[in-house]
Amino acid sequence: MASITLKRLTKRFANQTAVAEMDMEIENGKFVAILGPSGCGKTTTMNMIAGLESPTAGTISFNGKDVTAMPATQRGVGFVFQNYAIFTHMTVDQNLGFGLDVRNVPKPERDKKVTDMAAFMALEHRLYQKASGLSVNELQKLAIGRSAIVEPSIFLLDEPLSNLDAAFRERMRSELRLLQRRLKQTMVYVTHDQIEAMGLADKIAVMNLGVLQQYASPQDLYANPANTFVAKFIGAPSMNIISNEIICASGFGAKDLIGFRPENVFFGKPGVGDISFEAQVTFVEAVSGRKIVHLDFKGEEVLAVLGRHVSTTVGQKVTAVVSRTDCRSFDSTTGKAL
Amino acid sequence: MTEAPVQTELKRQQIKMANWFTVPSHVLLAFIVIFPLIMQVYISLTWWTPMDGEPWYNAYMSFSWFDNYIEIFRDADLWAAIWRTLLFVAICVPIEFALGLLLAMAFYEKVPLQNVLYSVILIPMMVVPAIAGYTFYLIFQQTGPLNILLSSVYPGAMEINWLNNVTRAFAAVVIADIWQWTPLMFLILYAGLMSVPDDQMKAAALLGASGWQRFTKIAFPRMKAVMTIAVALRLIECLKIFDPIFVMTKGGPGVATQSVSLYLYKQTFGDNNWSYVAAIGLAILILLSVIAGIILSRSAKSAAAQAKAA
Repeated sequence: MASITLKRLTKRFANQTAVAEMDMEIENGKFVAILGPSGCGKTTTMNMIAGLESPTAGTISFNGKDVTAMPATQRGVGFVFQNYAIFTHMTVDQNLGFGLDVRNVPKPERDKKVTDMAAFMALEHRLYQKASGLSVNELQKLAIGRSAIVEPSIFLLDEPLSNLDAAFRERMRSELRLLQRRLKQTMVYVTHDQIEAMGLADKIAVMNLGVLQQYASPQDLYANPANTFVAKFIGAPSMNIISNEIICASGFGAKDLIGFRPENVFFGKPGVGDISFEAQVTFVEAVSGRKIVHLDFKGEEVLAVLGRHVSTTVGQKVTAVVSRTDCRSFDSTTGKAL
Repeated sequence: MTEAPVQTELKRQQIKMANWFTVPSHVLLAFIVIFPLIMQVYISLTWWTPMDGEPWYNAYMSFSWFDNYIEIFRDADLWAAIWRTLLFVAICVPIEFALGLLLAMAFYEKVPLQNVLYSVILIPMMVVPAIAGYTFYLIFQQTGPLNILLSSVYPGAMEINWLNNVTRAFAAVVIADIWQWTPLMFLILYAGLMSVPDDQMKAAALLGASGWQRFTKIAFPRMKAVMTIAVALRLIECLKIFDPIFVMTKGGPGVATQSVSLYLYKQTFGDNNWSYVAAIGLAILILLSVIAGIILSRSAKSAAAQAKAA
């Protein structure tokens, strides 16, 4: 168990900055997701925490102890690769015991730990089979078990669910969460899938273009995005962001960007202080249990998520209403929340 | 369903036609492989040599049954050459393998000037073996660069004639072979090492495996096939060693560096024992076929076992 502290962590490749001055504190025992589009520097950040890449500048500390110069072999970090990196030429037993074997753990102790871990991961019936014959589900458990057996203080997972199909991914997501509760370890999870991050993590670090955009709890990210990038990236469908020059709502700066979630839009009569505008329905997507209504408002596309029973037809003119408390405003030049 | 007989008829015709198309290559194969082989068997049962003044098809005039084959077992020089060649192989191949592997491991992590070093290491392999042999012949001369170099660090002048002494001449030939063929081992083993999944090596490192453990536990088991190929290639080539020895020592001093190939060459062009050489060649062919057959069936079995396990 350990906390992780990143201070002004920077990684530059030849002429490109992959991670820029990242400051982050991951508390002991927390499940933290690093979320961002591909190329945002999330994997580089994790590789630096693991010691697979050395930072250009800045420091990494575990439990307050600086480990920036420590080689990967000695950091005691559990790492689950995207493709699991199972040693397919070995048996399940050899895979699980690998970390113990390279440390020359005495045989009785080693065998006991391997048997216990195999039981914990429900792999005991496969113990003496070649790892190449396992299913994806078992490979993932083996990858986690292999890292967990040496009792790492920190667990890093690199998109462990991304090569599973959708139905299976959902099941593995809940299994992962349960696993983290049982192992009680600090876990850092890299993903580009916001649903995964929102569902699993205690806290999410959103990254874009090498820069940490916001580091907060999933609810906080959803309700109070720090800037327009986070606002757009979190939530599906993403937040509507329209310039106040178009919407002309009072109480906001004339040039501010007004953001509101499609889930907070409804049709009907505005109450006191509500923001409302006339718009035309251009397209309706019926997604299980709800409708995503595309509206045209002075040439801007605005999305509204409504209940299945609300009747809307294409071409219909509606009055869209949003409560003022559901609106967020952003600076029009920096995109920062106001 | 009704089309099936038509299809098989068509297929039969196609196969027939395909057979006709392969006739030229069959004829070619017969001329370059089967015909010489029959010729060899025929000559090996006679005392024929071109010096007889008779064309080879008249060799039956000196028919000798299996005398040539019996001679093989009595020929101490041949057996000495065989043992010498095996010793040569037993020294060269393991050293070349070890050096090639060490170089490949050194190149696994990025080293400065990697591409330049890579090219430099591969140069010996590109040199024509006879030229390489001649270069070493010059290096090992009494007034050669090796002695000059040694004289500069050794008290007194170095005036050893390296190729004049039984042990030193053998060592010189071994050194020449290692110099020339370690690069091939390196090339093959490096390619094998590069094909080991990077993630697995990283995963092993994160599990606490040292650099050496990563190689022995992850990389080497995955390189078995490549290692086998590299060693097999060098074994075959090394057993046939001829050019550098011919240029450097002509098999001397005495017979100290005489390999099987060199012995056969001397029997053919020195002693004109053409029929005897034909018999030896055939015996070696049969022996190697048996050995290769055993190895192949074994590796096929283990491959099948592996496939079953996977």
